Amino acid sequence: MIPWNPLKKTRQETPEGRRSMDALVDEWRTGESTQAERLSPGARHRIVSEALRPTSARRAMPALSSPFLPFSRWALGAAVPAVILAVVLGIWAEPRRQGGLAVADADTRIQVSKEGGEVVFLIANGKPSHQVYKSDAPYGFRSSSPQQTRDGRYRDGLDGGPELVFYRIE
Amino acid sequence: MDDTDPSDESLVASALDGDAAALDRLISRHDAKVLRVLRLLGVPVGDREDVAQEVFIRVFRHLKGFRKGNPFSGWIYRIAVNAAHDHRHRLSRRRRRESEWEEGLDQTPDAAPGPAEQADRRRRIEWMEQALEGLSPRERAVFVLCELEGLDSPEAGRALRISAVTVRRHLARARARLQEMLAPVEKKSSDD
Repeated sequence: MIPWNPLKKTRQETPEGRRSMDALVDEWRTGESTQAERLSPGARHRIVSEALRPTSARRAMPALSSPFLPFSRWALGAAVPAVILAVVLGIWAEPRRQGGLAVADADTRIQVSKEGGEVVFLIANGKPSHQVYKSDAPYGFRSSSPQQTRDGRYRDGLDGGPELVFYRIE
Repeated sequence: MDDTDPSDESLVASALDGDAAALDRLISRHDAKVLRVLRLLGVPVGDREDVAQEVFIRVFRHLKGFRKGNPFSGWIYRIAVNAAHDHRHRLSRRRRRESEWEEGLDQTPDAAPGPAEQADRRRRIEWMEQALEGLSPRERAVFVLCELEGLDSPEAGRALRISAVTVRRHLARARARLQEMLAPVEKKSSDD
């Protein structure tokens, strides 16, 4: 039994209010039937492809000692990719953190952020440039062509969709 | 049902055998419903397709757990409500919701095409959808499923994992609260 709280305001519908709400809901239903939002063909294809993927190939997570980083496009499709940072911080088990930076060792820093429609890697370890390999499988980098970083930055577009994308930075 | 319109159960059985066409058919049968529920539960338009994909992938990955005899749509509703809640939780610090609310408030009936009565009706509907933001997540989910999606209390209760009595209590509160929020809009409509 819910105890009575004299301070709690009890909201009740008035008869007129009930009629008004019923009419509004009816109007909504009438309008809704003519303007249904649907999934794009590309989205449907991605769903079916993902659903039919063998279980072993789904969202394969690399070992913590692996030198590459998996990122979910969905997490990047959101605001600040806290999930990605958590993955970066988890894989690079560093003794110290500064702000949002993941410190792999005393000299290597990797920061991931979302800027507009792109994910941006900021890489700093004293080297003037880096090569970034991209793959949709954790061990499929041999077939991908590396991209050179510019000013310590690597940018990749966010195409949306559910697949994981793996990056290897050298 | 005949072969041209297989039941959800039949499509689920085919999908479990790896039938891509059955999966696609399930998607086409339920995607409008999922997108509508996500919209009504506050998932922004830019994220909606991604979240809808997440819903269907969750559904298909757990297809083996679907119990025959239960309505398939009820199961999809449950996953869609949870996905919307998870997504909004991730976005809880974003300011875009507030700007969308403000943009909605700035829309004027004169901007809408068609007769004045049609524009007035559209404005009330838009206000109602925006007013859903003022409900608690549970009240909102109950109102959406019961009033707008047409589920009865037991069905909504199964989707939300609450009792039918609790559904009715939340629904009564949701309706009363919406009436309070919409009263000024209704009054303005009658004055115009």
